[in-house]
Amino acid sequence: MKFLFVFVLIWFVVKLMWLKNIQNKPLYIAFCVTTVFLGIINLLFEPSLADFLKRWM
Amino acid sequence: MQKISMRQALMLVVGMVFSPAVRMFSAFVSGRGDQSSWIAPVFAGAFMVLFIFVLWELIKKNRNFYQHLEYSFGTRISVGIGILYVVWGILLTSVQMRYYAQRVASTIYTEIGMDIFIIILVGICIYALKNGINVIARMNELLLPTIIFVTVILLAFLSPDIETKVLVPIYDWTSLTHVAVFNLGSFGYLTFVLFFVDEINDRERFRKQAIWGTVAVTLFTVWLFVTVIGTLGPHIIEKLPYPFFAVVKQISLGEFLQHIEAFVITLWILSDFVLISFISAATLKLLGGITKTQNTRELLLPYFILCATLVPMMGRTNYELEFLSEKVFIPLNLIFLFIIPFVVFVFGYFKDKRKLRRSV
Repeated sequence: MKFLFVFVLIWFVVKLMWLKNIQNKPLYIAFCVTTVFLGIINLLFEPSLADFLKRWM
Repeated sequence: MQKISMRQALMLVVGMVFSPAVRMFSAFVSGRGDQSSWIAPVFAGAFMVLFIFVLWELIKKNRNFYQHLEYSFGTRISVGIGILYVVWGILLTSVQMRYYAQRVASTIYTEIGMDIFIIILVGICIYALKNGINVIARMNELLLPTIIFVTVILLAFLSPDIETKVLVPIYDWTSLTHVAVFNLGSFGYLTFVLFFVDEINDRERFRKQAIWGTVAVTLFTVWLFVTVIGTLGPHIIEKLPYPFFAVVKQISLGEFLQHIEAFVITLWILSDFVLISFISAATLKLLGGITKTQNTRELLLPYFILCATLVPMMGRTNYELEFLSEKVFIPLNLIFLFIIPFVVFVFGYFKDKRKLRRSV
């Protein structure tokens, strides 16, 4: 997953440089920011949604 | 935009149901499924046939689902509900990706991590969806007959081993309801057709073809349940992560035909591809409606990468995933695929009546 994350980061940076070709820039940036944010959380904490919900339910 | 036919749209839904139908035995993991569960798909199918009439009332108005939301609830509320649908769609795509990767990694490629399978699937889905839903629909015209043909042959091989005494008595209504609800969670994917109404040509055929499709899926699911429960028994199923796979492993015709389970993996992958592509296309279609973006093709990559990032977060073990499916995704599927469309229909109906009264 680390490999994928690094690839995604590079892809997003490259794609953002050509943002003028994108029809809906805010949405695209929102997707990128969310993905990077979740990717960092994933790498640092390795969370589990099922485990989290199990504690609350 | 190249449109698809109603037959192609419904074939996509039938193709999508195969993978969850095989996984449906997760209802047994909680210990709430028993020998009577094989009849549960009949109840789910009957309910689905009734729901088709509600869907038909929405489909014949020539509005896609987001346009229905806007019509019934106004712009602000429809944006709110639309965002909830998008979040659910992203999570559903991620959990289906996880199921696909986990199945492949734990059955045949036990030495390899899941990441590589996810990357391959993401790549294929993006490539296929780049030219719209019609590419998936046409691919599915080839995939679905293959899925049905191979499954029917596998079930026919297994049918002589069915012990009918394992399938009776049918008395536990709690178990029946529990498994029927699980079935509805996947039968309800029919509602996704509503998302693409403006991309479908012959909408007037929906009611008839959808009823036939539901009957076929129900019979297929009953046969699948009868075969697996009748061969292994309900108590063994509780302890197996992939009961259908375990049953198919038993098939052998002397030394001539062995390890037939490889076919099942192929079918899973094909069905998962259809399922994940169709859910993603529906979610992006709705997202396009919310943001008034005509062409959501540019969002394919960020969407799938976001889903791929979420895949490891879903759960650590197979049992955690089953918990997620039973306690979270089945109830969410029922809310988003049945309850909200029904509320939309009721609100739209009264709005139509009020408009008619005003015009008179």
